Amino acid sequence: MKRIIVILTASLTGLTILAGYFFQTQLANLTGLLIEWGILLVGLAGVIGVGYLFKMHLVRVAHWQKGSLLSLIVLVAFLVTVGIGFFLPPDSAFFRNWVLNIQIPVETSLLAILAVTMLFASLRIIRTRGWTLMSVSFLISALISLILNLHYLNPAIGTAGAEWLEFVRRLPLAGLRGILIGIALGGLIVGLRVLLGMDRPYEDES
Amino acid sequence: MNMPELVWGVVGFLLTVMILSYLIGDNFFFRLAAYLFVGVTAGFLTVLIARQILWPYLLQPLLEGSTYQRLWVLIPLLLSLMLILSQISQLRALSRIPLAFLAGLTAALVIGGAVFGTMIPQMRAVVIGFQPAAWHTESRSSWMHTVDAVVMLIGVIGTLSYFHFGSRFKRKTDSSDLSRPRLLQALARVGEVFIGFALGALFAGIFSSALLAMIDRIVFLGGWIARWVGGG
Amino acid sequence: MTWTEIGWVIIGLAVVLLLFFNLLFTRRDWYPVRVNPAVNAFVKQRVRALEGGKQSQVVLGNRFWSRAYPALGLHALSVSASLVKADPGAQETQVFAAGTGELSLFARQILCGTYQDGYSSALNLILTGPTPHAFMAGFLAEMGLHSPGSVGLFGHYGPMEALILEAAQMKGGHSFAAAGSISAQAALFLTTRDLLIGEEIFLLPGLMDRSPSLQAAWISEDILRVLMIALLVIAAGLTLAGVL
Repeated sequence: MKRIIVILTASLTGLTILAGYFFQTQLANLTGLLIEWGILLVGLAGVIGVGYLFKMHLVRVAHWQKGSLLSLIVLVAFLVTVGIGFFLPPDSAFFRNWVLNIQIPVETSLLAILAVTMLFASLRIIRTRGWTLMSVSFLISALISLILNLHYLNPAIGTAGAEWLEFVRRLPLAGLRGILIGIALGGLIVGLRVLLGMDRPYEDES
Repeated sequence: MNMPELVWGVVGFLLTVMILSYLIGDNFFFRLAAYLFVGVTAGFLTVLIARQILWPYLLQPLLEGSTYQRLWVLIPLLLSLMLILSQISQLRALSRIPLAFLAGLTAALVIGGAVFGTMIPQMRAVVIGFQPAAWHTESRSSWMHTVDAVVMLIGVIGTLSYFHFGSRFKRKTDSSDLSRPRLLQALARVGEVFIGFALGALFAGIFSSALLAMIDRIVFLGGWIARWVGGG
Repeated sequence: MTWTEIGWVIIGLAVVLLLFFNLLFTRRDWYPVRVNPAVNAFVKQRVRALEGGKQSQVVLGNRFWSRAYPALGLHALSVSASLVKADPGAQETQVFAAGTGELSLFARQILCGTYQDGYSSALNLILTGPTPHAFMAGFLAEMGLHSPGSVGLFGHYGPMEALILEAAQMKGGHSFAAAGSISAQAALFLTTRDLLIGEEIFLLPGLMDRSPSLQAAWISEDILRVLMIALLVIAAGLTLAGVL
């Protein structure tokens, strides 16, 4: 009985939202309300998730496990940020500076590391993937796209050169569209499996 | 340069060097910067969720709302309490209902988004290239337009065929079998090329942005070093 | 018929096909699918890591839901359910890493469902960072502390996660990726040999746990895909003729 109630909760919620796509004006209020509740639960789950993170590092520090000093950094940084965030007003310049001046250098530097990683990885692509139709077309396309991105080739509009260039630029779109349609199809099946109760990620009983 | 600018500049400089030190191998300084970043981000997210989600959607209507608003907020309040209490292992079962609600909601958004947000618009975009009326209105010649539309259709069909799961032999699975049914297999070979083209072009875009980020960091570091060396 | 109506027809057809094949077939291997070398390599290396007492890390992604790739979060959960079912004895060495609170909560539920007694979620469920970048940075830092035997990326992630797999390989671990945005796949195409591209990812739960229900999903998807190819050709023809 309990299991049926849980499955019905998932299915009815999903079906109501799905019906909202069909009866957009009639169900707008109800679907809006359900989505608001969903946002609230996602937010709460976010806080619980941060709790997991906090607990993991706290346990590490408490038991003086490997990496406990670094875990202490996480805990201190977290508590200081939460403290500043709640103590100062929402539009505080100091709070913004505190967060952004740590986030931006780290995020941009990680992207810079990615550039180097990808550069080296591209040099050994054939070793990684072998001579396949896909790897060769990948290389050709990457090379052409990099050249096109430099904007050295600028034939006059209306000429045959410009038309061919446009054609080459649009060529990757075909594969992209195919991949996107495929992923959407897979997504449709995944979503339906949850709505029909075939997949039940919310259950804690096998 | 005023004091705060100097302090934040030094922090940015140190964090950049610490993260970039990963290029010579995993090390303590990289982990230090990474964990600092994780702690700050977690704190920031907590503040953000409390201010932008929990307060306006739950606490404010509960504390300051009308009776009607308070009644409506009872259901999400109950779901929230169930989710919080389920963190106690003896009360774990309480999370089933809020998680089922969340899974159902997400599944419906997945279906709607996949079909009406991706599948149909992408299919329309493929087919629209075959509209004869559109061929004469643009600057491109009509034959080029035709070639473009046909190549797009072949590319999409080939790509879709590449993803066919079933194998050719229907009676018994051959452990070395990699092939699809014959027609789909032929189309899939074409699809392979188009997938390669798509991924290659995307890679070029990612690589360009990553390169820009690297240049940005080098310029930033160079600027600070020049300032210190020059005493400015 | 409008495109929106076509969308509803596709949804209706998918429901009918899923229910029909789910009810019709009960055997485990009734729909033969192509052999996938990447998945085979992942399964082999994962078992090797678990038997060798090394960690097998299952990364569930950095988002539960996104507008562009809405299904990847639910798909990651489906894969993790199959993975824990496939290796119920790997309680200690199989580590699940999630990048959001929702994913962590669902993963906890799945893990508790499989490892009923004496399971401690603190043992093998980690959240390394609560935002995509923090998750990645935290995961890289964690890898410095505990070298994994194998890392599998599932769910939603971006191109930056290529760094995770590159790091795993540098530390002698095996890396495998399924899902992620298309740009992530473009980056991973270079760094990872065992990569599932695009719709291939939806093969995965069924290959780990060959339940009839997951095979019903395979055949439904295959039939719908062929129908969509036919639909595209017909729609192109009708548009050319000026009917559509």
